[in-house]
Amino acid sequence: MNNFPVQSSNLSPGPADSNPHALEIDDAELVTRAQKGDLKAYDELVTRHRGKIFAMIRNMIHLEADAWDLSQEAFIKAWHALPRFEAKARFSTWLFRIAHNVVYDWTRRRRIESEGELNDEIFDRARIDPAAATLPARHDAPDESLQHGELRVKIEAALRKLSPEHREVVLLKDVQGLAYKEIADVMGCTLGTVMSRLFYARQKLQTLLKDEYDAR
Amino acid sequence: MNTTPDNESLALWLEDELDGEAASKIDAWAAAHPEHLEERARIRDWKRTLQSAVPAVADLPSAEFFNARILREISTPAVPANVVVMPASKRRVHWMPTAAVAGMALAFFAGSYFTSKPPVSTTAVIQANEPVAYTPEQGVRAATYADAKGTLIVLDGMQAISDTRELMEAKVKPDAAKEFDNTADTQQPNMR
Repeated sequence: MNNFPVQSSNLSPGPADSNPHALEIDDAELVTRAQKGDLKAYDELVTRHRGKIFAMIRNMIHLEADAWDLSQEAFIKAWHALPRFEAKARFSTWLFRIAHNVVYDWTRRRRIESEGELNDEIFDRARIDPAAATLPARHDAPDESLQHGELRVKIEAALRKLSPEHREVVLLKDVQGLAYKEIADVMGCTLGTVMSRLFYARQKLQTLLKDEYDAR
Repeated sequence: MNTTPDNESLALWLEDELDGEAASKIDAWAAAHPEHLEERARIRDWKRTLQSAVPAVADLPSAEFFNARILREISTPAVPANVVVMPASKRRVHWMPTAAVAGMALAFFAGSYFTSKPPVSTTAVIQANEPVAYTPEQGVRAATYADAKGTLIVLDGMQAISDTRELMEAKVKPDAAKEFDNTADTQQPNMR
């Protein structure tokens, strides 16, 4: 978790970097202070990143109350792991990694407690159009005439039908704006795996959104 | 750049993850390969659509409490490794009947005490600004958080109320002088 490699200099940081607090004190300084036991500094870090972590977890599990609890768990775990954080990655990326572990632990616990209740693998691979492009083509995607809320519902419904790994890679890449390398660090897999998962996840989303759009 | 970029570089370029010279080289190559420019445009378009529908940042309910609880957790010394902590769900289930009985007994005692003795307001000193919260259920911690908007009472460790449970609505009549038996006026069944 603390052994993230240094990001290559020719990689652009994702939009997750755009933080309104960046002009005040940067994360690195707050992290340094928090590592020395400064609770106020850590409180500021929580305030800065809680919205992103909560959104990510909620989009993963689709249960608001549990997402709230798991977000807390992630920040508490991050505090205890903070002495081992070496700032080789962005603090937010490191937090996503902890949130990833928290969500997968929670999912495993739920599977054990209620075997069969949680089934994310409901997507039928046979429904993927093998000739589909990597991404939803513009003319296939829901157009701007759709209500914003309606579009959101459709996309969220489609995301729910993805496997957790595919859902996570889409959320990290297309919603949170992380770089491939950062996603590989968060999910603990290779760059190639991330690329492959993203390809198939987008393909599945294309198929799902196309079906729903055509059904209108 | 006349040579085709390797797959990884091309993938990074399609996702706008390259900058500087690395990006310029592939930009020059892509000028002769419009299909890649189109694909990059579709990816950008897709991201915009997704980001407009699925927010990357969400407002937390009770955000200040979220922070306060984290601070409380990380300020509390960790449980020693040799202490076996029972899973929260089992702990709650185990103590629920005991806690319920204790709660009922306490409510009965408090009710009978306060209805039989009028409060002596001239001598009692009440710390109105310091609410005290407690719970009879072992393993459940009660705490209050007050700010300008109001006071939040937190029962940490209490079992969540199921969404399917129907709650009875209770209304308090401030002008009610005392408790009354709403069955007192009803006709008693013939006991013979």
